[in-house]
Amino acid sequence: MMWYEENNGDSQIAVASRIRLDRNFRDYRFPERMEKEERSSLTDDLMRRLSGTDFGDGRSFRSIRLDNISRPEREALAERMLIGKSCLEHSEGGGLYLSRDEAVSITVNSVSHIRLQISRSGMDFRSLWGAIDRLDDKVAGFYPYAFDEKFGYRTTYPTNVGTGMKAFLVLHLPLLDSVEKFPEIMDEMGRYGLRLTPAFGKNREQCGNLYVLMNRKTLGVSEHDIMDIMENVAGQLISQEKSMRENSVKHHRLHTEDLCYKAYGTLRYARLMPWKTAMTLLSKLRLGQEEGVISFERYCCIYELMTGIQRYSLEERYHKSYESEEELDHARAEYLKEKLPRLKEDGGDSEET
Amino acid sequence: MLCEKCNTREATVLIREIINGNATERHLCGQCAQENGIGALFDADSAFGRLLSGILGKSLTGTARQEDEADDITCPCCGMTYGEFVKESRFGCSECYDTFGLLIQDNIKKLQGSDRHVGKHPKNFTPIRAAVPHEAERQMSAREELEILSERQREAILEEDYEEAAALRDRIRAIREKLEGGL
Ligand SMILES: [Zn+2]
Ligand SMILES: [Zn+2]
Repeated sequence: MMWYEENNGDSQIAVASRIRLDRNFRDYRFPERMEKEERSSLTDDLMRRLSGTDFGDGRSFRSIRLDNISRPEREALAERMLIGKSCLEHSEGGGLYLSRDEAVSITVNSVSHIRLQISRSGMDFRSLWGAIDRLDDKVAGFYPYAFDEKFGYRTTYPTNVGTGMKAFLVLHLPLLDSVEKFPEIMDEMGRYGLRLTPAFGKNREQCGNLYVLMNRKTLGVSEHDIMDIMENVAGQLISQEKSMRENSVKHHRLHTEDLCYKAYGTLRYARLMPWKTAMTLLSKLRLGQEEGVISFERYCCIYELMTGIQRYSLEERYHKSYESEEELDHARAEYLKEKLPRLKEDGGDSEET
Repeated sequence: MLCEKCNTREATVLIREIINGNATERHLCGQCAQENGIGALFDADSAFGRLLSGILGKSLTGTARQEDEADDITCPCCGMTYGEFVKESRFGCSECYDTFGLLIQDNIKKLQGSDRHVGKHPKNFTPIRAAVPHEAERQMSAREELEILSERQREAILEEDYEEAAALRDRIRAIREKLEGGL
């Protein structure tokens, strides 16, 4: 089971949470400044140490040398947020230690000597922190970390110096997104030291109403400060979205149902499915699922579908490379047809009662 | 709107960059964005990095001369110069923090809103002042001396007296090594 399938996370506005820690070792130059051979042998050494470490969470891992896999394979990993975009260009000598459920990904010698990342569905920063804190303590035993009391963890970039921690929360905000003032709300996040941006690196029109909330500040705020402010701000966004949804579903139920069924029909029967259309329709489907307006015959993770319809994930799945947009849109339509379960005929409400 | 590069496909990607404090915007189609390796800009690290380079590039550089001379300050461990550091907005090794820390702490404060870490310390980390009790006094005074020297180094840099700054840096490093070696 993959991490995003846990506890039916699809019933929530908070789709997924993720914590990332960047760590460098004191006695090695940072990856970008290392000679090729030095970098490669440190990666071997760290990967060996990682596989010799019991993280005590019962997960099994696999080791991947990023320069041993193709560029499209790396792109697919980046689409699933398992490696950073910087690993695409500078993969030489880098490694990835990845758990089978893809909840834990440890990047070796890319931006930092070690980048730890843990994801889970829904919003639960405390348990993520507990897990990543333990992981971090184990890795701290490999070599002394680059750290001082003033600047904290000496990261490669000044943008995450201090705690070296970035917390991410994926939110599904279809109703808030439709409000004229939403761009102002996004800007407002800066006041709390946070950022709210479209997920999947696309623009607002193409993100399927999925947004990522993340902390900008890493210095002068503790890990718990970061989680507190994230939870606080996310809580406000969620309750706004919730009350708008209640209002809309209550007063326009038939209209909402109509939108969901039309979206389903198009997703299931279209032959060409451009990215933007797919994201827009999947967002409607997810809204219907979250609000119990529609329900599927078996469990369906819309977030997984949104991730899976990206170019390189499709190429990886079907072992093809798509030359034209048409081929790509066709593959996307096929994928959706294959993955989408049937709807329960009379919607979700009859099942609930 | 059509892609600025190929003028045929619809522009779907908006690239915002801040270079030397000037914001630029480019509208590209997905394909052109990818072909130009612009995808990498979406990485939070490099996008922020460039932003920082905008901040760093502007500050501390009242005159061109001052900028040129500060550019030559070099990290003894990894060979990174201050000029490279500003351009790439990233550190080359742990010691770069000792070398450039004073030059940039105001900018880091501007960027981060703080200049002092709170939060987790590495497991098994031994802070300098946590020495054996009767050693503590000597260690504390060395730390104070460090702070005074650091402050003087900072002034020297602001006064554009780079020879003095380099000499102070060497003294600071010697004290640091002694402190760390004594643990
Ligand atoms: Zn183009
Ligand atoms: Zn250095």
